Amino acid sequence: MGKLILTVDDSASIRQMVAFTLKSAGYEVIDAVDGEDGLDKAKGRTADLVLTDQNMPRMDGLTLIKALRELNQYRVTPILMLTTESSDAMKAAGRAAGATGWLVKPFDPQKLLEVVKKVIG
Amino acid sequence: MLLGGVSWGAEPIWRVLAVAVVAGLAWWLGMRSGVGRGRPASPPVVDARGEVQDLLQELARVSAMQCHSGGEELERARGLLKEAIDDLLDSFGQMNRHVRAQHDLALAMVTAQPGNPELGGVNLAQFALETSANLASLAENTVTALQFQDLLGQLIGHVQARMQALSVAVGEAAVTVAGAADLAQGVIDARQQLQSSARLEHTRFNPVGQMSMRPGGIELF
Repeated sequence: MGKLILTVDDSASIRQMVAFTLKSAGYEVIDAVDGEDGLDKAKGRTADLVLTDQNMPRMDGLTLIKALRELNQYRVTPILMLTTESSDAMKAAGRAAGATGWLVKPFDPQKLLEVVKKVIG
Repeated sequence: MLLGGVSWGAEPIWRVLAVAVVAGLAWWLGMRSGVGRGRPASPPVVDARGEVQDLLQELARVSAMQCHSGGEELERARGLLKEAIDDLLDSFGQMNRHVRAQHDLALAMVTAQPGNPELGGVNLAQFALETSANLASLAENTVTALQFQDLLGQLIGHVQARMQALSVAVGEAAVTVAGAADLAQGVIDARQQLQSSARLEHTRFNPVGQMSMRPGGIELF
């Protein structure tokens, strides 16, 4: 079984496209519909990588990252932000929260796989 | 079709909306104070006129800003949708051509001599590799284009938030004026409410800055 990736996005089409891309490269994927759902699922199974959106109902991406970084099993786990947001201020906030990297939507499947491979192999 | 054929980017639309809002409030204030019904203005009404004008100007400014920004966002949504659909149609066309070519090659193989590694002039391994690579490339293009729903959903949601914020802010201003014992003070309070509306301020920043469906940047920290 490949490495486990948790994807968190309130858009069903993005979840499908991300899962399609990652599964085609041999990764196992679980998904969540917002930050709260993502946090619950992250606690249930420890993922090797978390890929999260920023703007979501109930809990946004930055809050999710901060919550994950407080969990022992996610202190060093790579967490990538995949979002429409592209301002330097938001990127700085993501970095301060503990994000490993920032990807701006729409994503290119090959580029996404290159980044994923780079951070988790 | 999504926008009902209305060109939201055109300036006259937001101008008309702004004028309609302002005219409605002016009519309501006029009815309330008796101005416009032929009665001479009483001293408090005269005092309030300047404040009413300021309030109306603020209403016009806020309405115009929200409608203009919303129109631009819808125009951007229309552009993103067009680009995504163009990409998807292009992928569909390419896929269709590949399927036809594949069909012709398969037919050539069937009619060729058995035992020949290059059946009908076609190398089997090369044929399989090319087909696989072509389909993978088409799937990747489709993955990028299919993300339009997320971008459009956020853009349209932001326009809805703008309209709702404007509606609430104007409604609150009207309630403030209607409930004020001192009309002039009520109008001043309403204008200040409009200027400091957290709802309106919150809609100023749009999280979707994308102007095209081209893939976004990547940065590792």
